[in-house]
Parts: sequence; structure tokens; C-alpha cells
Amino acid sequence: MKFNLRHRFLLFLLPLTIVLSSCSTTDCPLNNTVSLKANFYYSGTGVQSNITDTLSVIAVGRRDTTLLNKSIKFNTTTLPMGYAQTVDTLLFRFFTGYGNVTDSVFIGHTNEPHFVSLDCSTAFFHQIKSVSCTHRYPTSNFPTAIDSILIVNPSVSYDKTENLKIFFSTY
Amino acid sequence: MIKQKTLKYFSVLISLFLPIFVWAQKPVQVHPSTQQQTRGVQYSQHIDSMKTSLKAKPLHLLEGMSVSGDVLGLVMYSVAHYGQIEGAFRLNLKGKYFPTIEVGLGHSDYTDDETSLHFKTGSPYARIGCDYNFAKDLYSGNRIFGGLRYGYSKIKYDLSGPDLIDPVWKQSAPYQFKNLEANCSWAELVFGLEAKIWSHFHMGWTARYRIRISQKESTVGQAWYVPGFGKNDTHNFGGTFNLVFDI
Repeated sequence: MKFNLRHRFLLFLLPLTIVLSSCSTTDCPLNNTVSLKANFYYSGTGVQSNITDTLSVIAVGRRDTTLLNKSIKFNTTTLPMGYAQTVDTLLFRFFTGYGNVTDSVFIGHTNEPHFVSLDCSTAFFHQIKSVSCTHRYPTSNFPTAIDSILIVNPSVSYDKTENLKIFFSTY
Repeated sequence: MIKQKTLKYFSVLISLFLPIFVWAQKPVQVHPSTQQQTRGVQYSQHIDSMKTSLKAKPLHLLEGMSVSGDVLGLVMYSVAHYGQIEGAFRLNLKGKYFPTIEVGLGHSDYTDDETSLHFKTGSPYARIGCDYNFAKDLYSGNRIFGGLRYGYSKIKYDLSGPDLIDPVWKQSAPYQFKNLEANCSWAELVFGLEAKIWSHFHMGWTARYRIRISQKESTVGQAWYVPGFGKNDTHNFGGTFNLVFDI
């Protein structure tokens, strides 16, 4: 095999291709928020429905944090989960003209560190292990209460799929 | 950082020009018409007559064996975020087929400036495959290769970064992981050129397109760098610059 001009050109081209192709792009996920998604249903019909009362959701910790402030007429919410604790306590506070009343929700979960690349921010994914809540009967003054909670998908990650079904009973 | 980059590009430039320099040393061929014509078979140089007599010999099934080392990986090992020390053993079957085993040790010890995440590994890998020599002249020692490889690496690595602060509950979660284990297998398409430079020594390039076949992630996620494969992705490009010695 004689190395003519074409071969010499190829020899130049090859390492150049390697050098250029070694440049890589970063594929960090665009949606990098990890949150639990819960949809609201009426326990009587099982149909997804809007909350008619005004609702706030508060995370209980050393200092309580309001996650959702006095919202009305909505049927879905996304909630953050703790990184360092295995049980999150959330207060669902319903407001009416007579004052407010609170249902407590306890979510047991794992904390799994998640790594994509050195260029990307880190995160914690979670597996929901258990969910429980306090039970209260709806009254004429406070007509909405949490009836039960169902785990639909225990994996909490970047995917915004439904994790919990929260069933409300009404007066 | 600038020094590292300068060294990296300098080594790439040397690697680029070295083969060209070697071929430039080859003697210029004299056109046959300028030679004095006499009766019978004439050879312009003594070496040509030797080559012709060699070409008359049939090629054996096992024509030879060779060992080689990847210089590019070694340079990257020294100056880049990751690199490898790699050696290979190769058989020469009839001058056409070259079954190859490549083994190496991949290394990375890198902290990202923006995220402050640190990745560290030193893990082995191996590839097995075969090259086919497309060159018409099987006696010259110059070769044009096309080939396939199957690669596998079992990775043990450390990953660390700043503690994560929970924005809601304000608690701190440590981000330090040691001895994480993962593995990865991949296929490679290889194209290469190789030239005889002196006696039993050859030198050449290979360009490689790598496709990840499977990987087992660690408990944290996939490894950032896979020895022998490169930066972890579904596919990537790479290459080697080999010094080959015929045994």
C-alpha cells in the first residue's frame, strides 16, 4: 500500500474528527424539580373534582412553611418532599366563614440520591412507603374533610405523574 | 486549568503531526522511465527485490503477533479529566484478519467547577474483537482497518459534593458516597490506519464509534465516566493512537 496524498489527508482528518467529536454536550434534565403530585377526588363518586373550600397546605418542621396559601377551586397540587427525614407531616387547613379546621397527613418515604452528570445539579428521588391522615367528619360549618388517601405511584422523581389520590368527603 | 488545556492541545498536535513527519522521511520514488533499461527483470533498489521475493511466499494462517500501547489515552490520563493506560495483544491471520484483546485501566479524578461535584475512579476494562485489513498490499506492513469490539468495564467509584439543604424543612443531607459499584458493556465500530515505521514497529490511529449495550447503575445513578468507553452516554466517539511492536 502506497501512502498517497489521499491517505495523508485521511490521516489528518481522522485525529481531527476524534478531537472534534470528543467535545460533548451536557444533557441535564430540563425539568429538575422533584415533587409529589396529588389529585383531589370526591369519595362519593370517585370523580376528580375541585375543592370548593379555601385550602392551605403547611409543611410541619422546626419552622412551619406554607406550601399552598388559601387556594380555591383546584383539583391538583404538587408538594415537595424532605431530603433528610423519612416522614413528612403536612397540614391541610380548610377555611370557611366560621374559621378554619385542619387535617394532618403523614407521608412515609425513602430518600434516594440521584446523579445524572457532574455538570448537572443533584437531587433526591423518593419512594412513598406509607400514607396516613387524621379523620374528621364534615359538618355544616366545615363541609370538606379528607376521607382517605391512595398511593397510585410510589415513585417520586422528575416525572410529573400522579402519585396520590386524595379523597374528600363533603357534608 | 489553562495549563491543563494547553498541555492537552499540545499533545493532540504532536499526535497529529507525528505520523505525517514519519511518512515525510520516506525516500522519494524515482519514475521508472528515468531508469536505465536493460534486458531481464530489473530492480530499482535492492530492497524492492527483497520485497518481491517475499511477496512470492504464501501467507500463513498465523503470520505473526503483536503488542501495542495507546499513547493518546496515556496523554489524556496525564492532562485531561479522564484517560486510560491501555495495552493490546493482536494476532495476524493471513495478513487480513487481526483478532485483538485490549485491556486497560481507566482513571478519573475530577471536580466540576460549577457544581463542585467530585468523581474519582480507577477501574479496569477489557475489549475483545477483530479487525479486517482492507489494504491490497498485505506485505508492506501498512494497513487500513475496519473492525468490531465488545467492551466491558466493572467500575468502582467515589462521588461527593456539597451537602444538599432541604428548602422546605431546612435540613441538611450529606452527599458523600464511597465505593459505588456499576458496570457497563458496549460495542465499538473501529476504523484505523497503520503504517510500518521501522523494523518491527508500526504506528497508527483508530477512530471508534461506541454504542452502550447495557449498564448496571449504582445506588446513586450512572457513573459519569466509564473506563474504556469514555464519558457515559448512550453512544460516543473516541480514538486511540497506537505504537505497535510485532513479536
